[in-house]
This record gives sequence, C-alpha cells and structure tokens, in this order.
Amino acid sequence: MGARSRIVITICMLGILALGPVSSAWAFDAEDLPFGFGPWGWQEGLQLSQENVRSLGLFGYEKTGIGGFLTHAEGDDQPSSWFGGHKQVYMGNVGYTLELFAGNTQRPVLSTFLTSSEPHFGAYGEFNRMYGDVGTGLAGTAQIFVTELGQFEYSISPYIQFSRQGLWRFSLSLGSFFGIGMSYSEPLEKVKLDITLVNEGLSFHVLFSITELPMTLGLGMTQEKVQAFMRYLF
Amino acid sequence: MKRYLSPLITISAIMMLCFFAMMVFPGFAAADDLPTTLHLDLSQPPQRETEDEDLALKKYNEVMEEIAISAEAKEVVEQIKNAVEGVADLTMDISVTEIRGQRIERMCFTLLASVESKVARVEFSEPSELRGYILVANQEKMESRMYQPINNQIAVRGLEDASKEVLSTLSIADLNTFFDFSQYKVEILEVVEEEGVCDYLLQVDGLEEMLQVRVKSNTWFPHEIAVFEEDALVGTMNIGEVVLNPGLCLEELTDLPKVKEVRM
Repeated sequence: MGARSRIVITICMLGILALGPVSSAWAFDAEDLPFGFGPWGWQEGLQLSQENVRSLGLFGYEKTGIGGFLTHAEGDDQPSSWFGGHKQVYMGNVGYTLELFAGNTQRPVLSTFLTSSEPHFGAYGEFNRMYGDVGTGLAGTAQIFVTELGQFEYSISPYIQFSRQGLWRFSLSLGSFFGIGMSYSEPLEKVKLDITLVNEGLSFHVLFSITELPMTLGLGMTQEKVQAFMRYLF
Repeated sequence: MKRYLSPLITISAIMMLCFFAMMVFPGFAAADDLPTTLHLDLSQPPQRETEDEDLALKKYNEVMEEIAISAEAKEVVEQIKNAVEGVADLTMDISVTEIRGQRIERMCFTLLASVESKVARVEFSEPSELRGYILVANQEKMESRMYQPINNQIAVRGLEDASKEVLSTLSIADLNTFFDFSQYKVEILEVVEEEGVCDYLLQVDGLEEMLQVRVKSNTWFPHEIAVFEEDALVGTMNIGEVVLNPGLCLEELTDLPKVKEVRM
C-alpha cells in the first residue's frame, strides 16, 4: 500500500480505528458452587451465568448476558434465588448498564453476599463516565415486591470514582433509603471491598480471589449478622 | 485541468499495458495464427523479446515523464523520503481532524513506534471519551493490548480480525514508506522562507483524493497533511514534537498499568 493511501486511511477513516477492526462476538459462561455460613446456618447452591461479548471497534464492547443462583439454607424451608439479564456497553470512557431481575433475595453484594427479602422484580440502570483517572456516574434501582401490599422501593445513587491503585467509588444512596457507600477493587480485581451505611445500619463485605485456585473467599457483615462464603468456580 | 489529466494518464497507462501485453504475448492478438506445432530454440537468447521489453520500457518512461514532477519537487520528495529512511524508532504527537458534514471530529495522541520490535504504542489524550486509553499493538505477536480507564482493565485482542487495509496502514515494519511520495505526481504550490528555513506546500495528486503536505527544510518531516476529496477538505493530520531514533526499549513501549487483563 502506497504512502498516499495510508495517510488517507489514517485521516479519513478514524472510524476504522474506532469501529472497524473487530466486531465479532465471544461467549463466556461460568458456573460456581457457593458454600456459605451465616445467621441461617449452612448454605449451598449453584450459580450460573452466560455472557456474550461483542466488540465495538477498538474502544468499546457490549456485554449481554443472563445469570442467577439458587441456594438453600439448612434453616430455611424455601430456597433463595436471584436471576437477572443484563446489557453493558462501554464506548471509550462512557458506559452504561441495564439489568432486569427477579428474586427473593436482594441484589447480591459483590455478586456473592445475600440478604433475604420478599419476592420481587425490578430494574437496575447505571451510567458512568471517566475523565482520565476521575469519573462520575449515576446508578438507579427500582423494585416492586410481589406481596399483598405491592410495596415499591427505589434508589438513586450518584457516585464519583477514582482510578488510583485500583478503582475507588464513593456513592450516595437517595430514595426509599438514605445511605452512603464506598467500594474498592484492587487493580487485578483479587480483592474487592464494599462498605455501606444505610439508615444507620453498617454493612461491610470483602471478597478475595485466590490466584492459584479457581476460588473466591468472602466475608460480610450486615447489621451485626456475619456471613462467610466460599465460591468454587468450574 | 488536473481532473482531466488523471484519467488521461490512467487510459495511457492501460493502453501501454495492453501494448506491452500484445508485444510480449502476441498470441493474445491473433490466436488463430498460432502454428499447430510449437518449436522452441533455446540455444539463442531471445533477442526480439529484449528489444520488445526495451521498447515497452521506453514507452513506460515516456508515460512516467508525462506525470513526472519538477526537479525541485523531486528533490523535496527525496528529502522527505531520506528523512524517514533508516529510522529505527520515533515518537511524535499527532492530531487528526476529520470533517464529517457539519461535524468536526478531533483525535490527539502520542505515537511511539519501533521498527525493530514492530511495536507501536498510542497514548490518547483527546477526545475526552478516549483520554487515558493506551493501545500497544505488537505486529510480531499479532496482538493488541488496550488499557481502558473506564473499567480499569486491559482488553487483549488478536490482530487477525483486523482488515488488511488497517493492518497495512498500521504496519510498523513499513514505517519508512509512510511518507514516500515518489510514486505520485507532486507539485510545489507554495514556498515560504523564514529565517533561512523554507516551508513547502506540496500537492500530491491521486485519482480520488488529493493530499496537501507541508514540510520544513530544517527537518524534512511533514508537519501538516490535508486530504481533499473533489476539492473539499476531508481532514487534516498535524504532526509535532517529532523525535527520530530516541532509543525506545521494548519495556518502555509495552508498559501498561498492572491491572486485570481480559482476553477477547
């Protein structure tokens, strides 16, 4: 290819760099067995997820997937479950996530820790944008409980995040509840931390990924109730 | 005038090729005249063919002379070619502006490239949607690694899926030929002399797009290239802070934040 053609492509086809080179899809699926111990006693279950990743040029990708889990605690008659479908799009420093879910536990913290609740269905949305090392975003959740009262809950969480030796996120939770939160993800995502203070109740969750083994270990505390988890990925 | 010249040159070139083909392969012109048996005399060198080739070469040179550039333009083109030739590695700041209808899109990045290791590193600074993104393309491994600040991850992709055009454009091994305009019709449109340095504005003609290249005589490295399509400006590329042969090492080129890698 001649010099002229190369220059023309470089200038005129920024789109090639931005959108052209790859647009294929990859499929990921993951299964893991969560074993836990908490206020309800021993708990075990199965977690499944399937995700398709489609590249949007060099600078973006789109993830579409479904996932969920089913667990049973020894002190509970009914199994706990949570299922959701999501779409996540990143294009450069802009990203958004949409998720629809249903379950009888709350949206799992760090995709692991469970807090039982009434059966419900709902939606989660998030929009975020980075400006180099600093970013801002807005997340929102709305859920309707399948009970006689048909209770409705919602929250809007503006947040700010920093990328310094990992990803730090500080958020506010407004809506049905008021709260503040902080989360941290270590650069290699081997350690994840989540701390929230909602209606004077403190929650603390930490998750460790073991490099040598396909395993994650987690410890959480929600309003003086402690739970520990071990997830074996296969 | 130039618009009419380009098709004329193409037609002339096609006619020359046909003429050349007919001379070398006379059977194409009169297949019916072929003898039923073929005798090959390999004892003598094919004198006639050499004469034909000389004639074709002469005609080719005549055609090329028609599109040949002036002596001054030829010298400038040669100087540009020489400035890039033999470069082992380089760094430069590039700003690309593309005009799409009413919209003007701008992208700024720093390019670091090594011909020897066939690695290019691109650090994006503009637009804000791409600020902080770092792309490391390794042509030898046919792999690209992109640091994404949005999720603090590195996306690893194979270059096999990239189109041949893109691969050829981004080819680090052919870096020396990126500013080789010797195959094109080049005209000097303007020369501005300032403090002993001449700033040349060259016009590089093509069939569809036309380039205007600005180059200074103190570096002979193009600092502005504009692309025109049917006399309308399509985009510009500004090049600054050029450092040739800075001695980049592979570690410097491939260094990315130590974060989670996701293989696509």
